[in-house]
Amino acid sequence: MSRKLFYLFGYVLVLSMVLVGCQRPHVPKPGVAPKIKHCFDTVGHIPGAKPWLLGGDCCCTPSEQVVSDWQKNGYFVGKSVSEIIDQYKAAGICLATDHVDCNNACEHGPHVVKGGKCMVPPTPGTENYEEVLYGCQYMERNEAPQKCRNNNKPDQNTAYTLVEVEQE
Amino acid sequence: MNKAVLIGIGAAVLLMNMSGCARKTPYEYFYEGRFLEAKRAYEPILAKNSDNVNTTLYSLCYGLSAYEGGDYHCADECFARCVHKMESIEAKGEVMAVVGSEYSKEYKGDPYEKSMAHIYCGLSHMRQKNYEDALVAFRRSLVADQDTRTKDEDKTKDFALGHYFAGVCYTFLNEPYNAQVQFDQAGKYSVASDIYSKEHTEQSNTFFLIGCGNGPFKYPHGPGYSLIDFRKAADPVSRIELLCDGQELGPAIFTDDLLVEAESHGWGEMDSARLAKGIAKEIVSRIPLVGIASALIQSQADARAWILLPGNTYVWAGKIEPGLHTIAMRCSDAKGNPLPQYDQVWFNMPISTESPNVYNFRMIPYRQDIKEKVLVPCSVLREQD
Repeated sequence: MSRKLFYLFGYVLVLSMVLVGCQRPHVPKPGVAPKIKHCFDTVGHIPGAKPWLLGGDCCCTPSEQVVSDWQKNGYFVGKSVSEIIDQYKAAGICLATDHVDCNNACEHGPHVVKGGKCMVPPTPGTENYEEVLYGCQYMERNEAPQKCRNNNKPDQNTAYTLVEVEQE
Repeated sequence: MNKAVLIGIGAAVLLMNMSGCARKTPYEYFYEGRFLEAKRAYEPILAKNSDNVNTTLYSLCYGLSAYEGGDYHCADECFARCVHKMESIEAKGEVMAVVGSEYSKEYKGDPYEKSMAHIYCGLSHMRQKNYEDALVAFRRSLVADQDTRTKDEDKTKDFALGHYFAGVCYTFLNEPYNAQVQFDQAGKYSVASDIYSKEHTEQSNTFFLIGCGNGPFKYPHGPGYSLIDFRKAADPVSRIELLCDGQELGPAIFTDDLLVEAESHGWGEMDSARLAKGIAKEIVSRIPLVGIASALIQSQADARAWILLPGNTYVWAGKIEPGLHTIAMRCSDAKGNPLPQYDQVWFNMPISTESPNVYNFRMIPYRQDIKEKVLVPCSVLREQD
């Protein structure tokens, strides 16, 4: 009986190690870029986009060019660039005028679109850059917010199935 | 009772292996490609080790996590502090290390680690278009390489990455002769390539540094664990093809195998002294009645290493039209078999008219794998806060 138990124990040990170490199948992220949701300095301002501070999706740093487009579309009318920057600072949001290259991992992070207070343009070639740009993030199922854990996995052959996930 | 204990142990082992354990270490986060989470996980470790002999080592790991995660603001400051410490003459615990354990000595890094720290500093200056300071940093990386104790002169100047970027800086500073000297050295110690020329650099507006695989680690062995072997995990990636908007840009050029750099450190007097201690420890441990005294002999070699470094480094340089592009990297092994778990694709990469565009990529298997992941809108993350 003890010999059987010994073999059973060894079998469980080896099986668990093998299962953990097995080459796992790889599902790459979709090869098609989704639609840009939030514009910021690096990708250029999308004409007509509403500023973040007013509830929109534009995360561009206020500048003469950007403010001119905002005002043409009825946002921050009559305000100067410095006044608008002051409004962002009053809301606790830090901009590229304060620092750069933090990839929103600074003390003010994450990026405002993720609920933080940093609106510095994210670093290209990183996951955070694409998450801010497209307004969505891949997360491990067990780490995702409860309401998203049963989301369908995106089809790898198409663009992100964001429409199915976010029903607004 | 015995049956119950064995079944319990087996179940516990199975559960631990399958569950992946509750909290991940910074190392685990890093090698899953979750660099910013690795950086955050290092913060409490750094806080606990803010002024001891391991501070520099933890700072290097913290800095590299920030760097690979794109937090250059943090990484640049961190590396600048670290290279200052690594290059300073003072070392805490130096005396203790002679008579006691080498772990009591302040970590200064091996030559290859100092070289890489200078490389990251140099890239920081290059991104800010400060070519003079960048050149100083890249030249310092070459000086650190010369610090190896080997008698083989070639091994004291074979750090191709340092030569290459020094050549790039000389090109931008309009010193063509010095640039070509550096490029020739880079080509001599890596692989022949068109990128090792000032003409190619003058025409390039984009530079990629690609790190692949796991960096060297130290394996203590021998009498009293007094000997050190450098080892690294096998890296199947042998070729990295770059594409821009689906068009091939050509392969990334292999520059350095950091294991080779580490192994060229050679043998010195301290190593001989430590081996002697190790042999003495083994002998004393075998003497009846006094064997216990062998515990007083500290012979274990210092196995601390900057384990987050890449195992192999590659570079690519060329001209990409200004604008937003999709940059992809396709990896294959030595036989040409594709390694899709290593592939990466990055959308809307900006290429600016203001040269140079310097980007860094770290090839981690399954970094862009989405098998067990779900897409979460950022609006949901905002609601949570």
